[in-house]
Amino acid sequence: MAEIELTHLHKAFDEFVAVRDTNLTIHEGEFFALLGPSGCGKTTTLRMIAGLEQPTSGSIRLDGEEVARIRPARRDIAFVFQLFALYPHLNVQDNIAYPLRSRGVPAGERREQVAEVARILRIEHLLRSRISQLAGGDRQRVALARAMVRRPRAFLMDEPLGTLDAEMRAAMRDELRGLHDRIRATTVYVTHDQMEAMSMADRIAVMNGGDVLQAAPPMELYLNPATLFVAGFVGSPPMNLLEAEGHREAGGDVLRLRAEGTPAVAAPSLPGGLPAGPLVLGVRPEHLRVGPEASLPATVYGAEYLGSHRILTLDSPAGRLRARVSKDHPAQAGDRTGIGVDPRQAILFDPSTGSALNRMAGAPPLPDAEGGPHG
Amino acid sequence: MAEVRLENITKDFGRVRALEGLSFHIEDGEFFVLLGPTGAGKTTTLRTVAGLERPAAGRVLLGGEDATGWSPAQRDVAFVFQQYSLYPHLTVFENLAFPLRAPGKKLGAREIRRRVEEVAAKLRIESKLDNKATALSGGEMQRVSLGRALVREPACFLMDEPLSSLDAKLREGLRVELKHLQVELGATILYVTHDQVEAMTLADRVGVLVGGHLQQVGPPEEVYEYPDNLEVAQQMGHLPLNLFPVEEEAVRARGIDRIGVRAEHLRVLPEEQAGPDDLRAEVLRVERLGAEEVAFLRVGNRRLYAMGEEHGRFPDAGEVAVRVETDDSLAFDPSGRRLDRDPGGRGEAPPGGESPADAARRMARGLRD
Repeated sequence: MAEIELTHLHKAFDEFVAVRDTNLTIHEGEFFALLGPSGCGKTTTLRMIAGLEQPTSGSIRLDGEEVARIRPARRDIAFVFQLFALYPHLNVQDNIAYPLRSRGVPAGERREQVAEVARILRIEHLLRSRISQLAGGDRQRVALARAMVRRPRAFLMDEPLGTLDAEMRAAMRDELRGLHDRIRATTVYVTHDQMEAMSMADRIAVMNGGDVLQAAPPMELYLNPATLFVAGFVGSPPMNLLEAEGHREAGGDVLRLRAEGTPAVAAPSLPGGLPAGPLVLGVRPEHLRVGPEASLPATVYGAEYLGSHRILTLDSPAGRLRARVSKDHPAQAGDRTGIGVDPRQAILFDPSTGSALNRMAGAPPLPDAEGGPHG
Repeated sequence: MAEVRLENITKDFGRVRALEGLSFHIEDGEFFVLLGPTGAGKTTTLRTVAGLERPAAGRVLLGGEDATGWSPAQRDVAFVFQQYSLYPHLTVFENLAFPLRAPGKKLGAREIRRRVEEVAAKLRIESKLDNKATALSGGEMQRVSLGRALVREPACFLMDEPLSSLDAKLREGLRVELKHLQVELGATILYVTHDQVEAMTLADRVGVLVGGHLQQVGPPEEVYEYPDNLEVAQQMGHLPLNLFPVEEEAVRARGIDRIGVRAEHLRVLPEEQAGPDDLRAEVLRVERLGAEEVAFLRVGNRRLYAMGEEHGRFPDAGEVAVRVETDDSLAFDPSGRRLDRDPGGRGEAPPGGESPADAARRMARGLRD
């Protein structure tokens, strides 16, 4: 299995820049997700790694070997397009053996290798079955087996679970990650579903408009989003973003929300003090305090029970906010209440650049600082 | 809006029985969700209320009147399909007026305008009446879609997974909007879905339907915390219920076959803090999802799920101790029925006996050996 290193990777289609000057290192054995909305450049990045798209400039290294100009077949990478693309007239055994047969691997060896991947994927009992007899999950396993049997240097997957229903998707997510834990294959996984990326990936690169905005482990993205876009894209519900303004006053720095009649809020401490001018205050739903004693007045618009907790939708002069509270929280739709922000659990953003100005206090330090422009 | 009542509805398709003695009622102004897996009979129930299916036996009552023999048109119920099933080339006004221009209605232009404006005011979309449907936000489309049903002044709304095709973010937002709107309008809604999150968040009461049988009806909190049986426990909740088989004879003699514990109630402790009654489990994997973390655990060949809200609560790998808390366990008999059925009685030791959790702890010793 290989390390994949992208350096100054750039792809333009005429005027349109699909991927802009991207630097990423995907470690050997890592499950790495490219996450972003449609059109963000994640699939183009994946296709360049696979060799299906030629970069405009920049380099792609597999274990140090430059492959940007090498044709796809020679890169030894398995692109799992659509996990359902199997040959319906062949049985499971022959489907899995197909890539070996086309390479001229002798029959005995083929059988051995098929048996081995079938064992890893726990589908030995299905080898004689017809594809049409298989359930959705088993088909997916067979398609994976066919990709694995070539012993590729890395797996590339483009929304492989996209066509499945929610329940099946959760089961396959679990299975794909379980499989990864057993074989530790370098995997690059493209998705627009933040939940999928958070639950499966060792690290996630969030992309938007051709740029990698942040590449980090899931909880680092979650607690310390580097930009407003990441803050709003990751999390369900996403981070609350409140328009605010910094004031340098005689008594000290003051942070005020940009809404009529709202009290000053405590600001996270920044190394150089609070900048004067427009700011955005970001707070995760579970970090908002909700109760009549809290200072920002609000009305409960919706209160959703979810078994282990509740999600409140709150209308305040500073806009609509979502809060995650305990299942026993008394707030009901229509209630008047208050919202409080703990400055140690808040992030300030500069709205002109979109960049975060601080890290959440008490958040664990970054394990290592490489892997992306904002790392 | 009106009360809806189903009495002993049975429905067969050929030799397959789709619904079996189905009875429930929806109060005027209530949001009722039928939750169940594919093939449970949810859509058949909806179509029976609408008059699109004839029951083999039983009655449908609308506003207290027996409507079993009525045609769909006579019933005045409003099906709401996908959010975006609006006519894109028409304005909001024309979309809302459309059902009123049906040949049978014979309403004058002034009456149509009056009704459309009244509904638009209720839905707070007055200012959008001249906009094309395509120029609306997701939430506004939902309002127009409901409004188009509302102008007909229906007895109730019938909704068949109206949010299922939308992406997660939009769905979340529209869910909150729909619930808010229903309360504001006092609408009677029968909503069917296989998504337990929708059922929990939208419903005043949920009915869990499995295999044509209504398993349990109640407010979401009650159905989640006090499921009548294992089917219901598995339908409600996004992680599988942890189930522990009971082997000890003294406990089995009291009819307890399995103990169930929700993922958020399974206590996970560092291995060195393990008490004599705790289970030892291997951590297979931890999903850190932001506000919550889910640990996938293994005891023998059994999978357990634990959910927590503090960051770093579960170690990434290795051994942990698992404890079943007294107050948060459910006891099931061999048929899967929950034993301590009345809310409030949960967790209390029956006279002369031990509580289900004590039983679980004792049972845990057996499981470990």
